[in-house]
Amino acid sequence: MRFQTDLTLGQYAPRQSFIHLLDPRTKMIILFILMGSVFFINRIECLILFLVGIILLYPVAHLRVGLAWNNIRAFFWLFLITICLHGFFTAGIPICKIPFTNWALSQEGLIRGLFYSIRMINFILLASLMTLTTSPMSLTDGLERLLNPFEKIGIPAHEIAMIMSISMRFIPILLEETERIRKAQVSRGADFEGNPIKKIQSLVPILIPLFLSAFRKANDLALAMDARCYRGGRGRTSFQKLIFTPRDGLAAGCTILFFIAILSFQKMFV
Amino acid sequence: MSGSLKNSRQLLFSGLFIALTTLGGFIRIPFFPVPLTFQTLFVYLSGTLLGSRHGVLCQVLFIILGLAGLPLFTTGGGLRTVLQPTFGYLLGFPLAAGLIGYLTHRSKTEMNVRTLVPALTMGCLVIFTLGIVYLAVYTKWIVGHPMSWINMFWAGFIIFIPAEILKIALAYTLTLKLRPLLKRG
Repeated sequence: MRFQTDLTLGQYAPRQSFIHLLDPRTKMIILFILMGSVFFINRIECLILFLVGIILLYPVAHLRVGLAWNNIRAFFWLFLITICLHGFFTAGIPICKIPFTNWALSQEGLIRGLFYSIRMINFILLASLMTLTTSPMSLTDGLERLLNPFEKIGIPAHEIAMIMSISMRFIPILLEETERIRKAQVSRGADFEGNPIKKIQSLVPILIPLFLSAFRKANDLALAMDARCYRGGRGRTSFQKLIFTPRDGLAAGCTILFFIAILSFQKMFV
Repeated sequence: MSGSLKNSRQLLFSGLFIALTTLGGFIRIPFFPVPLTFQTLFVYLSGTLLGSRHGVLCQVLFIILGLAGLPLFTTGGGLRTVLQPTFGYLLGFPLAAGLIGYLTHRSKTEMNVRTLVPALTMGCLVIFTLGIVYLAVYTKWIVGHPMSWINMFWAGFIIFIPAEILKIALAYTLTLKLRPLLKRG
């Protein structure tokens, strides 16, 4: 069983950069605007410009540009498939033929494949920048604040934040518990080897005690919360207050300018 | 049980099922034709044991936490997961948990094979439908090269059937064993 040791950090890389210090709500809104704007771009040149802009944000966030490469590398096969699919199945001027077949790589197809691949790279880098510069706790905090106005229409913002914090505590506990139960069952002579059906059957003696122990822990914690007068979100204050600063305004302004610049650049080609 | 204690218990059990769904992704058994993970087993159980509201809530939050960067998914975590062709299955989790929860909790009668198995099967179909629809959207809009429905149906559903049948059987057994324990508190 492979698992990241410090789960609460996730992919977060703690730094003291301009982007790290932005309010998570600002970052979320900017991210969605930028992700949406990628769909408006229909010229490969503009997509490349967009990509350069995002890559430049990595040093601004005090992150190595190599991290961007690490994130893209995982999707390499996907880019390859995309380029091949477009390259070989789009009609156009052939650039190279595969010997003994009728297949030929077309220039138009190759450009189209590159267009879709660069669009994907833009998405991946934007998404990674978000998770690299914002801890999961502040992301969930930001989400709770963004959802707060929707409580009136029945979206339980406080419950959402509470469940998320609880689950972050439970995940490492359950992983340890599973390993402990497995070892206990092995010491009692349980056999986890054999064909897949036997392996699935052998999971039941692990899952039942795991559920029992997890239910017990959840019940104990519920009693502890009740004993401390937990009454949901009403009237609760937060230890860490989220406040918009001029920095957030500057970031939003830069995003709008960047978006306008890309669109103007695109119009130059029409 | 007081109202606030009941509320706290529901919150905790929802959190617990997020953790269990994560754990399900890390239990991996080699199986034919694709390796078996147990994430969907816990999705089914969140529906049968928590009911529709908390089943949906915990699965939505599982996705949000994974997208926020926690390594909860079998492919890791972070917003870039949206660009995985299999993200549609994850989107099906809340709907499946909600549907199973609704079908199994709508009457006060005891759960049995007649109520559980159809509900679990429908939940499973919801996950795979969303998975295939997302794959279609993905191949059309992201890869830019649509795949035929037959190929998608084969690659996104048929090959998973044997494993899903086993998981539904396991979910049925576990629900019958665990529900009385959960009610007892």
